[in-house]
Amino acid sequence: MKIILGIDTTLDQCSVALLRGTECLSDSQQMQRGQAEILMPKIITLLRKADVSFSDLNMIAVTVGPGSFTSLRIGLATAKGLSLAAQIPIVGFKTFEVLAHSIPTSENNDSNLLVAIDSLRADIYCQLYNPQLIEIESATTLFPEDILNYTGFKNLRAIGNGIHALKEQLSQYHPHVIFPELGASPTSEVLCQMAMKLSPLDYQNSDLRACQPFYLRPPDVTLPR
Amino acid sequence: MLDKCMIILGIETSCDDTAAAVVTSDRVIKSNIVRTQSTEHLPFGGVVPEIAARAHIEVLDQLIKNALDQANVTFKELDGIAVTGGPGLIGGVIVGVMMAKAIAAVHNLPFLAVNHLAGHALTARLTNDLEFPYLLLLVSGGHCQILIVHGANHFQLLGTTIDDAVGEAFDKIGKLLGFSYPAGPQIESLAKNGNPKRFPFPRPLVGGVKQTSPYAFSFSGLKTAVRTCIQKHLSLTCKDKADICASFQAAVGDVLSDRCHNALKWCEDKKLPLQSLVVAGGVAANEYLRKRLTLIANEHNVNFVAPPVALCTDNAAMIAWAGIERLNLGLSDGLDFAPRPRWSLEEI
Repeated sequence: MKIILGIDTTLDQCSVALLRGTECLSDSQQMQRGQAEILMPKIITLLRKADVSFSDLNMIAVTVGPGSFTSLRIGLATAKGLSLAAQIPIVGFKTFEVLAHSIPTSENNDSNLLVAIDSLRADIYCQLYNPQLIEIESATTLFPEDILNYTGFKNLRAIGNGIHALKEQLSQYHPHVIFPELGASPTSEVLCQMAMKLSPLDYQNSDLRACQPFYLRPPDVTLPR
Repeated sequence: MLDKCMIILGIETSCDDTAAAVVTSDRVIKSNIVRTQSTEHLPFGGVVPEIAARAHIEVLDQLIKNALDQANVTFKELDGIAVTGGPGLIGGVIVGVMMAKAIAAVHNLPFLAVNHLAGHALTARLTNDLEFPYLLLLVSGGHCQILIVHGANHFQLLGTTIDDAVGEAFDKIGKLLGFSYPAGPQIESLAKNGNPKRFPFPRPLVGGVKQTSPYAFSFSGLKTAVRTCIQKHLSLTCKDKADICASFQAAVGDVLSDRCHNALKWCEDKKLPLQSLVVAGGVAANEYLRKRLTLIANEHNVNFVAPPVALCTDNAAMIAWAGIERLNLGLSDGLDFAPRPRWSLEEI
């Protein structure tokens, strides 16, 4: 039976999950700081609870961003270290797709899905999916006033911790827009389930360098004049 | 534990070098890889923390693999993982610490969070037969301190800089002269053909009848004096630049010599059984300053010890070695260790 460890530290939380077949153990804690301290002890406790050792793992799944730069690197550096040391394949998922897959399938309908993530700045990280959760537009950063150019006027659902800033704009033209009370943070359980569904071909070729951070924003620095 | 030869993996990511090394307790450096990020930071004239952190996570795992391969060592043969736990640019420190924790967890190895400055401070014991206590002058881009090293875990701070670090002064003056970062090597090379007496730059805190801080450093006044001098000359000839470099370097040499002299005298007065003056940190790569410090050591009848240049600048061999020193004392750290942006050697 396939055993997958999932790690997410992207959006103000420290979340780890262990999926064995259909049985899932997880531990999630909301926090803005301190993931570097508690992440590894959480993973060890989880494995111990499930009586699983690192060498039993078949795969590590990790959220690669966007999110806070430092905290996404906490999860990713840990996943890369585990992958290197235990020689386990590692797969990275964008924060957007983990959130998109957090919506119960019964809620899926013919609307596009906007996943909006707070960037802690004036603009918002955005990714638009079609009803089948295929990316329609590339992920980008947008100011609230530009959101309608990005989403178009088709039926829309919107989730993520960035939707609050967009609510006003979206509601004007999307009278039926739904804001499921979901998607504050991605969950490591969903991450594991997504990894479980991958075919071997999807990750067989993943080497150490395949799983890189997805910042969606360059470092905040300007060239000296 | 002391009888068996231990093999330690060291990781360093606290500034703009990504480094991994394998070192044994019988003082063999089996591999020592440093990937410098200077090209990434070059356009900005200094280290940009976020650029540094991004570069670290991109290459660190492959670098660790290369260091193990080069040493012909597997994870299973290791006796511990040592990593810089601070002080430094926290984004980079975190990358190294998390990867080290993960490796330690998988292979059930002691996790050793090493103070970066302790790494510099103990390097001389990796390269030389050196007993405690010794006097250490730690000079780098981020630090300028005089310490008595009583043991691998016991540092006594005599003095530190009240403003800039000495390497910082080198870099800032290099920037004014149009040199790329890090500017130390270019200043040193130009100074060789310059007249050190042409510009009488100040020797901050040196001299005076009443010395209130005989072991402290200050470089901002010196830096300002050099800047004023540069601005006074509308166009600088090569000769002018060389003379400025030589005069500046001579001032730094005088300051470091004076401070070391005071510190050695203090140790003599306290009857500390001190045999060596050790210099460490990136600025210790400067040959001229090494010569100046040798003279002071000779005056006080102590040995002058300076590790090879490659081990003075940031590297992971020194972190691995400091980890070995911790293990020898029976010390290791928990996997809940919090990376520390600030971490004085006296708090160890």
